[in-house]
Amino acid sequence: MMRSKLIAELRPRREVVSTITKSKMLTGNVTAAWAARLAEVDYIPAFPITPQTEIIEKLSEWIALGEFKAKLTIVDSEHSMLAAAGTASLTGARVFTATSSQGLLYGFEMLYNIAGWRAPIVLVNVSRAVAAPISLEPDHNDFLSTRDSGFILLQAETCQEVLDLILLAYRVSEDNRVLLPSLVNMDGFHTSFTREPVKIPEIEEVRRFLPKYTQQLPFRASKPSAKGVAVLRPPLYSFYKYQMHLSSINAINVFKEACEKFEECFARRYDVIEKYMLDDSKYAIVMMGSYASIGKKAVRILREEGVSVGLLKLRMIRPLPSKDIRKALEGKKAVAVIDQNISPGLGGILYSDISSILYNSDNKPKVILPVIGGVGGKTITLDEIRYVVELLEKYANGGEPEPILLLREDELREVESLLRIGVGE
Amino acid sequence: MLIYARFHGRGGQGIKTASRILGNAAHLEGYFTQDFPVYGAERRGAPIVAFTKITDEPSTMFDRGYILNPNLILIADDSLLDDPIVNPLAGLQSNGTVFINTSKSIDRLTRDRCDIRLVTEDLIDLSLKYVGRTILSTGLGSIAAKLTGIIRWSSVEEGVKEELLEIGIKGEILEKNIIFAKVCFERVYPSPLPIPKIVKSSKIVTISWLPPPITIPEVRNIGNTEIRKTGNWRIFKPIINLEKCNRCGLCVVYCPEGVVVMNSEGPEIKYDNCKGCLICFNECPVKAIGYLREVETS
Ligand code: SF4
Ligand code: SF4
Repeated sequence: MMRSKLIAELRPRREVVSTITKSKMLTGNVTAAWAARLAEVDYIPAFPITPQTEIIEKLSEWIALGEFKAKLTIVDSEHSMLAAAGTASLTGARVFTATSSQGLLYGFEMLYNIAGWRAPIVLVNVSRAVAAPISLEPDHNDFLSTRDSGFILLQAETCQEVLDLILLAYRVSEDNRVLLPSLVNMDGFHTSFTREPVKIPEIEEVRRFLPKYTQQLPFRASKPSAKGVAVLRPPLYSFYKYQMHLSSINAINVFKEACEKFEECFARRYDVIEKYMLDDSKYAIVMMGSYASIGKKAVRILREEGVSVGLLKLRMIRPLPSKDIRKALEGKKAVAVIDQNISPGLGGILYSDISSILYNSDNKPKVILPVIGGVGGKTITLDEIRYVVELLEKYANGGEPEPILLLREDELREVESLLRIGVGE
Repeated sequence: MLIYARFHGRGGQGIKTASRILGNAAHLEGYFTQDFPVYGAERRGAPIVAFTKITDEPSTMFDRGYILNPNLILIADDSLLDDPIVNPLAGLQSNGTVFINTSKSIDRLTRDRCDIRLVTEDLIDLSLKYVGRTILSTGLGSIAAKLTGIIRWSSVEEGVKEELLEIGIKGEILEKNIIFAKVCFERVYPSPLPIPKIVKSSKIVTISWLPPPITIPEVRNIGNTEIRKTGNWRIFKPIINLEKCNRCGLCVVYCPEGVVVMNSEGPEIKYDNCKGCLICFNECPVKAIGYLREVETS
């Protein structure tokens, strides 16, 4: 029953030219490697870090076997890796690279540079909680730290979405109306190491979707130019940065256009946000990434119990598709934002974004509830989401909710026993 | 009472120190003051600007940053007058005072703006005479203090001492600088400065998206450094004696500006762009390069 409904939902609206592609069991990481291969990238500067390493291992394996033609260089650090990525892109090469957590932060300075050079690379980040304390499991602090860099930020939930968003990212980034790099994020373990069926399209199909990358004014030794120049006049700096902002805003519609073309080519439909049982619900929860799968499951069960709740999954984080988000959440009684990140002293990062979008609406929810959940890869259970929805019902007529942390009693017991070991009691 | 003093000069001329000497001296007199420099990529010779604000009424000091409406301007280098980017007289208030360090007569200035008072001195000449090197900061700071009409020599002397010690100048050179500052202080006379009027700025514009490449921060128009005539940054002018020169080409290699070219007759300096750093003079193995003060060559 479920299955047939799913297939019905996926049935293309238009005549599909694509041949039926068989699916394969792939991890999110190997899927990302496939996306780079299918995008026929020219250059991959790389540096290993868990849980991302599988991506570059797969790519280098294919290159060694002669199955895939590209140049892969292992460099000395993520900082050099990103510098190489951005500069190579300016010569006219299509560039792919990947990192994670500490690696992303180590190369952080280059993110602003790459965006400022307007180099349309695609960078995959496999989310992993940032030290200290050290963790290998995912949350979104690494990803969201890049939100002001000028990168287009896209978050994948499933392995299929990893593939599709990378292809979409190249198309959007390389569009002249945007010309900004993209960061496609997937969650460590929950997507990166999770195998599930993924449809890998034929290269001809991908070529139909993704035109060749042509750098308008490629950087050439024979034709020198100065990129990323010093701008010592403040108004000129303001001008360039504001143009980056406007180009980023353009990416909302360019992405929507690309999604139409994508559906035409691959019979899968995407948008800047995804609504799950949301249109007719009284309450809404906002989530993103792999944990949205858990959220969707909970919503479905709660619906069966008669609770009127739906889920808004964020896919495009920068530019922030404010209009789409506002439209999706207007008229709801109460909304909970489950942030899988923590900004100490504030609470959740996305909570501020969502609240600011709704503030000027005449039809805004009575309450927006800030929830921290899943930080450091902590699992979220059905009952935790049920608890959040109960709070929404409680606050439906107003109130001033404080940020809450989702942590269960059994987890607290575990924490306490670990703390005792730590202090030697 | 409000004094808005703006200093214009080039990197290496001590503009920041001059503005601090004025700021410190005014502070020692009991006024509320603020001083602040702005510089770009630091290189000797590049235009820089510094500001000193002085008032006896602290509420008027709720202010920060650039001075757009100075009533006192001090220009350390007359070549800046013709620089359209620097535009050193911009915003000078009617009846305001401008001081220029120059060895030339600059009547044309007051012809264009008959509502301002012009004061000039040859500070390079004075500093060579009293300090033995071209140092402008103390002279300029001291003159600025005198032109405000509200600062006594004792405060200037103290200000000079503190500021020079701060940058590691002490002993005999410090003493010489104080004499130099005193000489400068005594050479000029103040006249009342007008209250600066608030500047009305042009209207706010809307910026819409423009297609690349114009919006990408890059320079494709290569070879454009030549357009920026940096020859007027020179204080000293290198001169090659072709009879002594053995055509070794080291000056061509060492010149950081790439303005020495080797012709069939020997090396030639492109004076439009030579900044007068004198690296060529230092590097020439046979001492075929000498130099003169710029004013003496014209
Ligand atoms: S002084 Fe000599 S080294 Fe310096 S810019 Fe001029 S020619 Fe070049
Ligand atoms: S360095 Fe001196 S000797 Fe050599 S070419 Fe230049 S001027 Fe002549």
